[in-house]
Amino acid sequence: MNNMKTPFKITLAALALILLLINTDAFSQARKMPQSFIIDYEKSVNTYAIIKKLLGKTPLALDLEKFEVYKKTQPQFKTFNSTYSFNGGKALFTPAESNISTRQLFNIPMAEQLNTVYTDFTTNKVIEQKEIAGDFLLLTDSLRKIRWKITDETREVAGYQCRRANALILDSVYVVAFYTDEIHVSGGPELFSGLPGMILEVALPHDNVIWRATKVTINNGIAPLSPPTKGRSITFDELETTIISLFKNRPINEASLLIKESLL
Amino acid sequence: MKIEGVIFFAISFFFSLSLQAQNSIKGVVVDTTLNSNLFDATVSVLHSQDSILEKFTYTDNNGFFTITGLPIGKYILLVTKKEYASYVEPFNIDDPNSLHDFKSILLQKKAKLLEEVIINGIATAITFKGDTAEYNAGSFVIQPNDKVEDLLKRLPGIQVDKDGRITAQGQTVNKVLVDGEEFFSDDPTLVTRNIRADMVSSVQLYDKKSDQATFTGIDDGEKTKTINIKLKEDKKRGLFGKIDLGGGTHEYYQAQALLNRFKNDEKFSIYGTYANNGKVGLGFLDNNKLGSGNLEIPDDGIVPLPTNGDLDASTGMYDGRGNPLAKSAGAHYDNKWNDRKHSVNTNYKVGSLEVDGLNTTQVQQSFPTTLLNTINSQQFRKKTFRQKADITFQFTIDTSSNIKIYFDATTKNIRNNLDYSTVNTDGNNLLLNDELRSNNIDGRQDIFNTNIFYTKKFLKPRRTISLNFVMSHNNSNSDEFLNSTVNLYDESGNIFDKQVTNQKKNTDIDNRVLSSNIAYTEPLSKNLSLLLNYAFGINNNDSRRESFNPSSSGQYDILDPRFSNHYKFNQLLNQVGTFINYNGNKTILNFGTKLSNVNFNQNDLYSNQTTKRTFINWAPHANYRYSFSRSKSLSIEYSGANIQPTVDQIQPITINNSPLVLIVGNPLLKPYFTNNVNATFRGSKAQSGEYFYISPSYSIISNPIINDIQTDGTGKTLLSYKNFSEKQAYNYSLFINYGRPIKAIGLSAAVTLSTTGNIYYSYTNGILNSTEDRFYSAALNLSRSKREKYSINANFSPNYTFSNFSLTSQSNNNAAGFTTRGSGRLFLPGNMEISADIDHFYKARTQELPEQNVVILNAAISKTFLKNNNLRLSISGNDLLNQNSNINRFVAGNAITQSTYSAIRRYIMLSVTWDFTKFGTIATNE
Repeated sequence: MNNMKTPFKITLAALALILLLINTDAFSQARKMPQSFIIDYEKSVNTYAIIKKLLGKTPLALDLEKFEVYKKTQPQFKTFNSTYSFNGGKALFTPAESNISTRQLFNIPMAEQLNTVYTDFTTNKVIEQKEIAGDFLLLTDSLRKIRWKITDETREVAGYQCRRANALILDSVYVVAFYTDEIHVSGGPELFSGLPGMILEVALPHDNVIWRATKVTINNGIAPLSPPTKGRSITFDELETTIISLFKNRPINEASLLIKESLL
Repeated sequence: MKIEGVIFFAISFFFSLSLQAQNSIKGVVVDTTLNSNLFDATVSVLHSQDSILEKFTYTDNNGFFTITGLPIGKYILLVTKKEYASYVEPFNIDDPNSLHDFKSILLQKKAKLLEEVIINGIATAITFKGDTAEYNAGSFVIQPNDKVEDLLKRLPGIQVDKDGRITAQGQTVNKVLVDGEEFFSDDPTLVTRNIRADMVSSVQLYDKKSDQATFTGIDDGEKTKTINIKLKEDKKRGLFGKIDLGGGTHEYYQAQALLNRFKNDEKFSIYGTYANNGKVGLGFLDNNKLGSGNLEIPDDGIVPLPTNGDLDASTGMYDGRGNPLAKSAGAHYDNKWNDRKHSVNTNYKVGSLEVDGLNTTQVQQSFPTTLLNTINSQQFRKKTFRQKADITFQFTIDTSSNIKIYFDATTKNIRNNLDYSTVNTDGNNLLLNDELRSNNIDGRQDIFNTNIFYTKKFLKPRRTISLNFVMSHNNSNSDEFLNSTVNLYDESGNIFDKQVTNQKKNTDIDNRVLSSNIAYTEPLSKNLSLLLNYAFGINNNDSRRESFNPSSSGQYDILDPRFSNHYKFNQLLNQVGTFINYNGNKTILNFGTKLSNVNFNQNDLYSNQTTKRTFINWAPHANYRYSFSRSKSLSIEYSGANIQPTVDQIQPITINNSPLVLIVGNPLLKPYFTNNVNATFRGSKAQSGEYFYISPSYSIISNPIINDIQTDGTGKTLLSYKNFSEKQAYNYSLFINYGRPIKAIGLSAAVTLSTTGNIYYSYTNGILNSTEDRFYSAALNLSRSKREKYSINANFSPNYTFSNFSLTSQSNNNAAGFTTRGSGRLFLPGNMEISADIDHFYKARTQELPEQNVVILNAAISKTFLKNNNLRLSISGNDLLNQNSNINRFVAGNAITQSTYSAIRRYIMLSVTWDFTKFGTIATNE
């Protein structure tokens, strides 16, 4: 039974190791918010409601028939996945590939994912790659300024406690966002940003669309992010003129919807 | 770039916006309770008119914030932080270049606020989801630096004794998991005394089924009471632990260090202890079948492990008996990667335990014409040194198949020195014999286990195949020196015979198990599915027990054939099974049977006799569950199984380790059959916090293996085994637990009623004796606490034991008993705390056995230091009344036994404990 003495030595070694580890780490109460994370969003669109608006109050018989066919073949709610990667002050919002095309029947930009958004928080700039009517544009501008109205309503999204904020953008689009102050990044899906924490849910209640975070993955070592490059560089003001001139000849319902949805 | 960059951007963002005057605000955010500054709190400035966000920032490492460039106007300051109630304060910026200083902004924890609003908030404390009872940890008041064990003690229906053993719903809990993962699998105290209570989001209590039963959905009757500790999301990343050093009177000391580093799916822990006060024994719980509880072998056909007397009993776990010196250390690591497709879980533990003490045992045995009373005192010194390593790999091969590989290895060295003195008297108190004896044992045990479990799901839903493979090897050998002198007395009290035994015993017991089980499930309809299984098993035992007498040279080289034998007992199992499973909306029903062919090959190498026997065994099983609602369900289970005799019972050898009690094996023993029915009804009401749990069970044993005891006029006994087919033995239990909060007085109350009983048989001097043993108990538990103010807990439990032996029914062995437990903690100003607990244990005397009446009082006073009260200095008094003794009374065979062990008594200890935590802050891998 010579080895009766071994456990004591091992115990001492373990104790020494514990002390060593503690001294190096436990006392420094440094702030370490996540430097990188990935958020999975799911966008859900009520296509029936959008098509109804598209058709207007006095729809054509042909359009109604198309709508009937659409309803039979397509679900009311379409969902799309996207990811928001954040790494070292830069963020990239990328839609997942989705081949659900509704263009054969109706043109609803909202029921597609056409935008890739790169945000550089260090310079306060965004680069958004947009696909408009088959063409690529590269919106390069500063972060969109949104006048957020903070409320005292809270809700849990993807395991995080979020606070509700409301806003009006593009003069008429009502936005409801839920942000969490547990993630100190002033970002969100698409161009929604500017709150004191990450936006995990954003809904346009009158426009029948909602983005909701499904999963937040902290600290998984993301490769450096690079901005999208496809398309002609353009500012927000230039984009607005381009889009208006592109869609102004459409029927009034369609035109206003297309313009609004393309500018979001 | 560091996160500071992001903060910098946020601030610079506002600088870029604010071209106005340098109007600014500043302040510091402070936790009211801990009085510490809070970093990373969010500070937002809103316009008071329409709550439009003007600016925001986060507090720095020291809790300070500054916001500059606010236009003139009326504002609201909003300060938020996770787990804290929001803080709102209106303020005005009246003139340019003003500076508004908020000084200290006090945030209060939500939990604390809630506690002050609704008493304890026990509303949804416990919910039943299917077979799982889930306790919401937030509903129970825990004190700062409390550990999981302190939380478990608060949970209704769960008891934790002073050695850390957990009982839930009347059954022992053998497994404590962390987020579903094994964590130092065989020692639950490494979870319960290590993980902090404030890390826990909920506690789940359920019967863990075997992997194969979980996968196929068809119960195989294998169940382990399991507690799963679910951690809060934000506590899965962090570093925490404890260092505890103490020294006391009577040379008592303890040193303990635990360190844990959790990072999402990765957990790493190490610990080390060195103590002689039994508080940090941190022993091993390896009494599970085949050592680890991770192995699954088909029931019905494989015998339990052979035992090697003291060697197997030396588990290396301190059970409150004697004075221990424990040294132990261990490490744990588990991780998942590749989208959690691959995982590893590994543990290593090393420890030595030395226990010495004194044991007094009083035994009363019933014989046809008389009683045999034994008083035995034992002085013992036991040393165990043990190492165990285990590792589990899990691979998801593709979306449909999965493989789990488990391996463990244990080595154990023991050295036991036992000195006995025994006196036997008859019913008239006439001296029959006395004995002085010493047993000195040196032994070693090696155990290896391997388990491979493969599952595959086919494209068709519910069509699956699974394969379970087990290989295990258990070898133990020991050298024992037996010295015994027995004096036999005649009726007038004179010695008429003196018997001296001086022997060396070599024992070598080897057990190898190989078994595999293939199960296939096939859907028959929407709700019905079929399971077919085939199992194959080999169980080979080789038991060599040799006794040597000394020759004139002093060497032990003369084999004593009376007490020696070499025996091989091999079993071969072939088993097929069919089960039908119905899984409806509210009803789950499955039933079926297994049929096995078991071949016994018994080979006596001394007489060169071989016996071959074949048994056809069947094992029916049925399981029914009905869910009345989400939180109310009833389940009923029936199972029948054959239990095989052990090699100890079957080997034809006389064991004389205690020459006054000789044990003889019986090679003709047959398997016996047990029928078991049990039911459980559970329900909870979220609104009132009421819960209800009732669980009866009943077993009948046919053809049981019973003791056959012969005694001669000298008080020596000979114990053998035989199958008994005339009557059936049975046992039953009933457990009822009801609890609810009494909101008016802020009390939570629970009532537990339980009864157990059994009837079984034995032969004494050829006459049949039936033993009836029933136990009734009721318990009332009351508790009330307020965080950082006080907590009190009281438990009153009267009980009654009824024991009767048909042979000596005139002798009254019935006894009433009473257990009272109370504990309290009171928090005083100046970070002082006093605590005390008292245990009163009483059991009435019987005709032959003395009364048990022990009061144990412990008390402590402590003071905490540092800003999070992490450092604690305490003076504690253990067993202040100096009464502690480990007393145990039980009925077995034709005997009722009361056993008293010396135990650790009064001492005063001064100790320093440092709890350290650092959560949500583990750095990222770049």
